[in-house]
Amino acid sequence: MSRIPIIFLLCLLGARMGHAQSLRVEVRDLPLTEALSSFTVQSGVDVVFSRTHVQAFRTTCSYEGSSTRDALLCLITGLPFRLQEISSTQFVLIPLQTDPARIRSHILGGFVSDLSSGETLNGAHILVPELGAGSITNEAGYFALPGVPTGRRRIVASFVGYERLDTLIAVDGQTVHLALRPTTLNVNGVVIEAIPSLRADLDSTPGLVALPPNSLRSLPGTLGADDVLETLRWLPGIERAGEATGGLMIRGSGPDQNLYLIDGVPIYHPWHAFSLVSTFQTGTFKDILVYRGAFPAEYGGRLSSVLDAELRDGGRSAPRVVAGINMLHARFLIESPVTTKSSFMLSGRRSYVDKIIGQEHPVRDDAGRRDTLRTGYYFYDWSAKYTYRPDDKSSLSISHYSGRDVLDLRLPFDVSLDFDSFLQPADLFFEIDQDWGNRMTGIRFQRLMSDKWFMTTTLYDSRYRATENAFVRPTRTASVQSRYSVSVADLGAKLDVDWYASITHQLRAGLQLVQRRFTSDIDATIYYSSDFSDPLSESVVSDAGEVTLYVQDLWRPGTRWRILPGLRVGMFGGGRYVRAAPRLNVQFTVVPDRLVIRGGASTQVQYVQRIQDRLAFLYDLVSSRWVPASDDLPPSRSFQVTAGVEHRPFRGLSLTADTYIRASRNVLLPDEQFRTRDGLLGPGIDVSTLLAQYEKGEERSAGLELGLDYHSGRWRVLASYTGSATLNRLLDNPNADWHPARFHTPRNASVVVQTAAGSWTFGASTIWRSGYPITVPVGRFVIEDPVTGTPAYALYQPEFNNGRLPPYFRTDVQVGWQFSAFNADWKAGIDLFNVSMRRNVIGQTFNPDDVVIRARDRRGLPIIPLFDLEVLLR
Amino acid sequence: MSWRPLFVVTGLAALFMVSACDSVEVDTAPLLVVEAYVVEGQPMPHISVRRTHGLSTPRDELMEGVDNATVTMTLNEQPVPYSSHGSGMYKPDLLNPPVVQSGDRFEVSVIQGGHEAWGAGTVPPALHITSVQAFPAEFAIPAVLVDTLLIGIDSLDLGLDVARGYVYPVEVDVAWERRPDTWWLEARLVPDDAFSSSILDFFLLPNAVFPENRPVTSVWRGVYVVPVPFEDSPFPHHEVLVALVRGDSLFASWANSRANTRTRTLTGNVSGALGYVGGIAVDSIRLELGAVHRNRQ
Repeated sequence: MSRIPIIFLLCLLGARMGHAQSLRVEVRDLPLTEALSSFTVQSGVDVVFSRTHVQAFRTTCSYEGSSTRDALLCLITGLPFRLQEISSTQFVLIPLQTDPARIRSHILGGFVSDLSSGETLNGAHILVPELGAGSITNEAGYFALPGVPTGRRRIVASFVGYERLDTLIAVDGQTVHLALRPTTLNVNGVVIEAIPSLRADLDSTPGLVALPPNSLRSLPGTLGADDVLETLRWLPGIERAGEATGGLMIRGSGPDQNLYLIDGVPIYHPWHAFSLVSTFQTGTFKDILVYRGAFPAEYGGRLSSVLDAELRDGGRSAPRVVAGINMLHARFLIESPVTTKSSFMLSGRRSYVDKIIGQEHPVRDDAGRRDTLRTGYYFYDWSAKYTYRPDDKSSLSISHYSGRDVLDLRLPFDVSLDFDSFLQPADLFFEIDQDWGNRMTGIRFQRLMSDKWFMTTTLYDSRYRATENAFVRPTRTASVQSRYSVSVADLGAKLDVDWYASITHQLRAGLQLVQRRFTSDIDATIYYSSDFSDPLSESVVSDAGEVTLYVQDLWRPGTRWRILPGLRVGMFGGGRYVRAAPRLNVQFTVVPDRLVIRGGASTQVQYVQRIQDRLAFLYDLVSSRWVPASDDLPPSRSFQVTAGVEHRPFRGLSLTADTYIRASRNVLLPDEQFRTRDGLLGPGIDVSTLLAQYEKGEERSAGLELGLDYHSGRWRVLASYTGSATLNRLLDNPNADWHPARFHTPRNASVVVQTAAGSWTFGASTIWRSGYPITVPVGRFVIEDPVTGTPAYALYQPEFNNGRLPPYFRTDVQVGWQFSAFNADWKAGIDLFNVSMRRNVIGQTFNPDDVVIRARDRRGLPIIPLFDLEVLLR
Repeated sequence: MSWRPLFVVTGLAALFMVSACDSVEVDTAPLLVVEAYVVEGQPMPHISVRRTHGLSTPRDELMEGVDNATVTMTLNEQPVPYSSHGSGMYKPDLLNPPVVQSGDRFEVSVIQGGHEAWGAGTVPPALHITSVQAFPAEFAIPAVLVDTLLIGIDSLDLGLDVARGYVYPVEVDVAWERRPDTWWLEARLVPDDAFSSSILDFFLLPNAVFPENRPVTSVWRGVYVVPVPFEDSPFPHHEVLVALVRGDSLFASWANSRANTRTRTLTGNVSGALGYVGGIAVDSIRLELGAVHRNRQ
């Protein structure tokens, strides 16, 4: 008999962290009596048990953490015992009342969690090989497989970024707890996160890309380190709408066609710093799920994609503190168990450039005039979550996120890097006061009603609000002052029920209620002179309710098939619009663990759309103004068909190919394509007035996405290529031509190469894509003024987006170093943005008054060195 | 292990990479540009026929006209032939062309190289300015003169090319005989030396296009500025043309876009060509300001 003794480690992390013990248990196929005895001797914890009941069982367990209770639970996982805690140092092992002779099969249900943090894992795959049956954990980490015959069964649990757990458990109707170990390396005593694969298990939910934060964190970010949305661009079909700023475009969609969820609560504008970094800090999330295109019926409200991120519950086994700083911001994360049944996570981030250059600058000139110039800009995030688990079957969590950007400027017009020239009292100046952000609070209660029923209830409040105030004084008598605000507030409730009907059917149904309020106000006046002004004052409030019902069934008709049909029915605006959106995803395993093919077809409906005043210079610069579907604005609707294949020819290499075709209607397109902002104030903020600047349009897109993920030892290569076409045309004009969408890039490729040498990591990343479409004039002509007869020159632009900027190419280089010092683990990194120093052309303009028309190029960012430093206290 | 799927994927990728098209074919065929303003109270107008030119054509050569077109104007269903007088200028082949009256309907046809351009309209009622008052500022005031306004976070480029100077703002009130129907007006202030700067332009009102029945009063107020080199420079002597033009809603679109050719595309009304053919009524007054004219007139 092979014996692997218990490995039991105890360490003290110092007074700051308290006296938390670090336990590590590794046993394999050891008699339970022996394992419990060793545990008792080495840990000092008294475990009372009946040898008569226990001696027939053997145990396999892998645990690492600080909880003796969890360690003991690990030892009895899958065995017919439960644990009763008498005190922190005394436990009793109680046999379960089961009669194998009478019970022939059970529901194999339980939770899957991260071994190191205790966080439950959403999207982990559970497989019972001898039955060919499997299940996927829900957002609570729960899974269930009804009808599993009683007895010891081999079970395989896997999740991307974690070591596969292949173990034997006793199927006896008891809830099991499976803990997966993150893939890590240990170099010179420093625990290093290995470079994990991005690809999810081949048998995951059709259409789903599961992205554990550890996977994303190892990917380079452009200017926003530790940023989920920034690193998503390395996946096929996903790109930013700009060089370093702009929203996320998935499969050619508009940035407003993506649904962003934090703990199931929608976030309307997930960006900071003028879209330079996102509100999604990778380190604050335990799970990140991305659906491109054909997403299941449980999600809706957007045409293109879903990003569903779950905040960390907080360490269930030990406190953990992470702090970091980079060029843009400083951040921290604290998580800890509060009691044995509760935990919390608190995370914060703030930019600090205002602390360096100062927010207010009192100045005084030789004449004694005083003034206070302002150069304030900062953004911050707060994320917090408290989780309480009254028992093994229930969980109550309260999540909160708030983030804001604040820009406060008062500067003279002749601002420059020569501070002495303008740091003086200004009589001609501009003031800009902008403030925008999201705030959400969600309460979620999850309950395992029975082994077959799991219920999740969510109540939430989510708000987005932006204000843009300005005062501009270019002469002593002329000025403009403007106060503008826009907001959208959601008050919602969701009920989701999982029903594990049989070993082949896993149903999920839900009801979602949302009441939305949209507001906007403007109060502005242009003073052409002291006694000649032009005011604009409007206020708009509208409400819209939405009721949605959905049902979906994860159906496994055979060991190789996974079919996910679903139907989502929404009623919007008090019944003004009722839309049904059927969904279907199919996955077939051609060669187990090697080759799967996937397909899907879905209809999506979007009831809110984002617009802006396209003519005004003073507002709608940073705001996202959402408007509900109305009589003038029917919901936009899309139909998408996808197909794909994923092939793993050998361990470490994953190849994917996906195609899609999508058609959308009732998307908003600019009415006068060539027009740009040309006035301080627009025609007004009433929705109908703004909608007059748009036309209803239709959109078609198709594409091929190829991905390569190679991971072997110290090397990792991630490559993607996307070839696509996204075209728009006006809907009410059947003769209208199709033209390329605003950010349509026919070809888009990226490569990330990373390697590790000891505690060092080196990486290089390259992006190449077609240039964005632009409207290039094809001629010029002259007209005459009917009054003066003077000539004026105009450009002949017969087609919209008939040209294209030069291809965009950029290479970044990253170097990272992990080390241990001061009883902490450190990560330091340097990122050279645009190391090739190519000044990409990111825009072109044409002036009709030039002697000869030539494009005036606008260049992108030069080489920028960035740094990042992070410390982890355990 | 089967490598066939890998080959298929690789083949598809190669095919798509080769076939994907990101170039654009640009149609550079020249297009006719036709302009005809049929002015109330004036003889039948001349008609301008030009064409678009390539981007490399110098600005000075854009005035070149099209002289081999067949141009006809039909006024109240009476066709009148036009003939070329060089540089794309066509005039009626009549010794005494009739004077256009309010309510006259007309059509303009231009045929050249097998292509026909056509436009039509109605002549609006006569327009009369009843008074003009100019209010120059007492003193020159400091002002920001910005030549370019280009702000982009992507490029870290604050393209403010700033200079400070001095200007005399001038407010001008224009009153006219207002009509209650649905005509549109274009009001214009055209000083001798038009001044323009990116920031200051937002605070000037040298022109406006508005429906005639919208303003509460029959007075439009515009603002322009006259730059001067020093704070104590006197108000410069200059002339300013004050004009009102009445037209229909198509004229309003044309006038709006004509005033902003950098940010908008001209929205003409000629089928088969660029340009505008329409009826207008015009009244204008030329003011002489400065030197002896320092106070309200």
